[in-house]
Amino acid sequence: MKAGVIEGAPPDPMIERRELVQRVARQTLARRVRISRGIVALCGLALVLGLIPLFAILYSLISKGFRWLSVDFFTQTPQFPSLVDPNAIGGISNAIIGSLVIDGIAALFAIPIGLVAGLFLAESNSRFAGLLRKTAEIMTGLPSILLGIFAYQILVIGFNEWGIKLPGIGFSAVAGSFAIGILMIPIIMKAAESALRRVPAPVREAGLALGARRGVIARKVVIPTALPGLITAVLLALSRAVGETAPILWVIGASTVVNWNPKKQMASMPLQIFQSATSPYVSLRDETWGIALFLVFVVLVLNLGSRLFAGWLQRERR
Amino acid sequence: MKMKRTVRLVLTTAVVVTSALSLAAVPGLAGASAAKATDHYLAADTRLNFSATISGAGSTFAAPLENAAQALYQARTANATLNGYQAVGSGTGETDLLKGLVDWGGSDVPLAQSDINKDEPSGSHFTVGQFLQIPIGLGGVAIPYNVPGLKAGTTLTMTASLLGWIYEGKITRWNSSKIKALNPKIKLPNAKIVVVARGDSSGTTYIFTNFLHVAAPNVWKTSPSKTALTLPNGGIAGAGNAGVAADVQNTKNSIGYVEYSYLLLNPSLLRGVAAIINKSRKAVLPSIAGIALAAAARPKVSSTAFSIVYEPGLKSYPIAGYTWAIIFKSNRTNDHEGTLLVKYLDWLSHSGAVNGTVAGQEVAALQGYVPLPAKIQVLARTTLLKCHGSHDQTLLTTNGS
Amino acid sequence: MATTPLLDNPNRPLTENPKGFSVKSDSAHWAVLYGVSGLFALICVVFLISIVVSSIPAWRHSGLSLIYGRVWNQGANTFGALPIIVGTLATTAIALFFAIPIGVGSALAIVHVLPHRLRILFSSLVELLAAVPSVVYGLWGLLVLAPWFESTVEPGLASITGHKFPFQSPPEGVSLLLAGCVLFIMILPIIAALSRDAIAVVPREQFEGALSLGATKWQVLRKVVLPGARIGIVGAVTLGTARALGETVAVAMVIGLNPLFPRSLFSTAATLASTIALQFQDASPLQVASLGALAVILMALTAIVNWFGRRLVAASAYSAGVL
Repeated sequence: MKAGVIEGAPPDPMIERRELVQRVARQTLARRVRISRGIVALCGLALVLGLIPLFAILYSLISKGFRWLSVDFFTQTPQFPSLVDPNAIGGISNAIIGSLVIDGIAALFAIPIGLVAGLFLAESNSRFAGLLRKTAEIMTGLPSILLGIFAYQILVIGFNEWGIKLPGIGFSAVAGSFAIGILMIPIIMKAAESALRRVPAPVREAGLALGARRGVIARKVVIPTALPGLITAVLLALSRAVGETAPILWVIGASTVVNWNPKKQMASMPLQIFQSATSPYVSLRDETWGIALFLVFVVLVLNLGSRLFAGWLQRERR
Repeated sequence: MKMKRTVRLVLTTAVVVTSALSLAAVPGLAGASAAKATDHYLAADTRLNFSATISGAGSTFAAPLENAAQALYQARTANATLNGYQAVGSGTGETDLLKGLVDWGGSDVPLAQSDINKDEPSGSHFTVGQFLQIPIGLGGVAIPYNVPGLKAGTTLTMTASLLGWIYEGKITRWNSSKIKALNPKIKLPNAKIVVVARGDSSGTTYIFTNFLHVAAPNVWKTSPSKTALTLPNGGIAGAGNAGVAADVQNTKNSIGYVEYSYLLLNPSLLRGVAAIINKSRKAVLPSIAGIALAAAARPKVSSTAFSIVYEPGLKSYPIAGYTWAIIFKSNRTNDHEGTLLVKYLDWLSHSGAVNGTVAGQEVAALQGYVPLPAKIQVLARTTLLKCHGSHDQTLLTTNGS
Repeated sequence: MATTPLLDNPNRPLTENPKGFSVKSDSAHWAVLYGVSGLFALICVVFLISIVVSSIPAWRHSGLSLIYGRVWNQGANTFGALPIIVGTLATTAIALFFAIPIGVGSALAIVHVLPHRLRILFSSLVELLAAVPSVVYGLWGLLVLAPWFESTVEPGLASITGHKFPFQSPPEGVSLLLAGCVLFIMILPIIAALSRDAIAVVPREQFEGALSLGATKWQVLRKVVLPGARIGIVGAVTLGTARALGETVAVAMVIGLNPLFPRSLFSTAATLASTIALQFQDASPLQVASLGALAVILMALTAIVNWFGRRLVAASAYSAGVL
């Protein structure tokens, strides 16, 4: 007795079709499974291939850079080899402090602006908000070197056209902070907006029900609730900013001494790597791996740290 | 094949020592290494009664000298801060100076009115007379190559015409008949020449093209200039002398032009350096003595007549040049910074140990440059004495202020 | 504000705002929000306009030959950027050629092949690639990859294809191919991470439903998951392309910076962003304007890529809606 067949009834075309499909499926099963297994294995291979560069870079960084990390490396300013002392290398304290100052000042103005603008995007649905969102997307997609051009033309050499007169302040850390800050703001904006939007509507509405104004709700309810996401946003933007080279290529000058004055020229770690990679001194070229290792370490700490911190804060809240 | 570090060290020290010793044989330089009896300016160059910060930018030709000199000067002079020297190339150094971004611009080619007109920032109308050009270094342009097909230690002989053809793209392979004609005993591989040149505005390019134009005017018809050379057959544009040196080192079958001290600092490039036929028809390898001879053959140098390429002399190296620091004649920053600037440049351009410490040109010798001849040091000082401050006073003094 | 304790005072204000609840009293809040956002918007607008305006002298001098001219020679005041545009497109194409299959494949593997527990670990590893600064990629590409390419990879490729196009130039280390490969590594995490997000959102029921009909895993992936994730994958590729077009520092370190037509994959070349980086500082005013024009061309290319991506997304959404 075949399934679904009623004795004596006319043959049902659906049953024949079903049997055809099942027969074809049985016949092709072996081939289909083989192909599937093959392609799935290829996907796994793709994953492995994709991770090889990561391990290769980490291996190069650690094997070539680790031996440079010494106390001198962090505390001394650079020295230059000569023919009779080809191994005179100081350290990179000027670059570390330079990065600190430049990124610190950039963060100082980028974080508040980015968070407030992100709050605006989360709270408002006006046309201006839509335009602002589009602008932020465009800005994150632009090559960062254009920001360097902008900072150079406005801050470094000054502006003297169309009746607007802006005195240039020359090569300085402030000009670099300006470029990096503008880079950071759209990143913080977008991430802050999504973090703030994830605050559940009932939480907001509870505030409204208690009679608070929107501003108070934002300050006392929404932001504290979204704090892990906001901190993640800020740390991610910082980790991106620390590694940027293009915006500060011609804007911060150079300095071989430790300099805390942001109106003067300064060194910076990513710029140091860029310049030392083609240094005429072999030992400085090798030292570049040490700088790169330290830079990657800082970036990874910021990156991973942001996520771990957000996760911890989330768990603490429960 | 990498030489061991100790071998390299011995080799370079030997080169420097023998070069320094051979300098004594060169007429005109005898006075340079002997300390002057009482050079009051030099003694005052390391005394500063106020604190000031200056910075410079420009020629990569001078970068090893500036880097080492600044570190030393700063260590010995209280209150002075030398905020770095950006090795961005001669052209950029000049434009940075014109824009007021740095206190001095380093260039291998003195500033000319045509440069100012070309790079003039809007609203300024500078004339050449508003600037002072101070010679601060003397070096040469070597032609390294990296041809694995040649036996190690082989030196190729080249002429200006040959180099001109190579850089114009008319000679494309290492075993070309023209190269063979100059090097009959050397077996040349059949490989394409990879030409490395400067991609940025470079004074070293100027010295190199000046040599090509003076020595082989039928081949290299264009006047010398700092502009990046077009490489018709592919090739690599390096950034700065260091970039070109690194590119030659890393690329097989390549040839480039690099300031000589970079080769001394990168001994692995010493494996393949061309011997250039000079005006006396002799093939000469770049050397401290050869460059010194070229300078000695033309003692009267000024900022308008500065070329010392292709000078006569049996052992004179034909691609040599001075490098200059350019400053405003009427100091544009405050007087303290102006004073530090002229004192530093004065110390940099002179030799003569004072109180047991060396001056700039001794540092230059340690970095692979030729110390400036005595007459040129005098030129540097007389030029620096023309720099005046806000009350029209001469900034270069024999005391600490 | 009330000075008597709130609970004792029957006339205590019902809200903390003595004027009562009113939208108007929110004005400080909105003033700050609008003010700051407006300030940022103003900076962006000034920035974009300044780039375009700074390039006007170049357009006046060279006209459209900026785009189709083949010679970029600042000494002769000739500015033709066609080889540079070709170099940009070529490096991006090479990067996408590798990044799309490996990126989407990795994403599929992370979501559907790996055991669930390993998903976070491998996702984080892939995203770690994105955290590495571009200058470190340039350093690694220049000092590690370039010698390897010159000694092993490029001669190998040349001998396999018999020295025919596009592998016929002699290996120089720094080359178009090397820049393309470094770019591939840089955009891989973007494409992989965003594709993974898109693939993970395809409803589990659809996946299991197809399996229950007797399809093999690959058939399900091909006919259910990938079409479902198509929108996200297209978005990922668009983002990756925009990133590749604009990458400056890493490319400048490994491409040889020669603004001529690359004859083969092993030639040196130049891209829009890296040319700006190399030449900007010592440029004459006309050259600065021409470099600004390169920036405008770059922005236009990025805009075209984004527009194209949006069209593809719209088309996918339409066909998904019909389905």
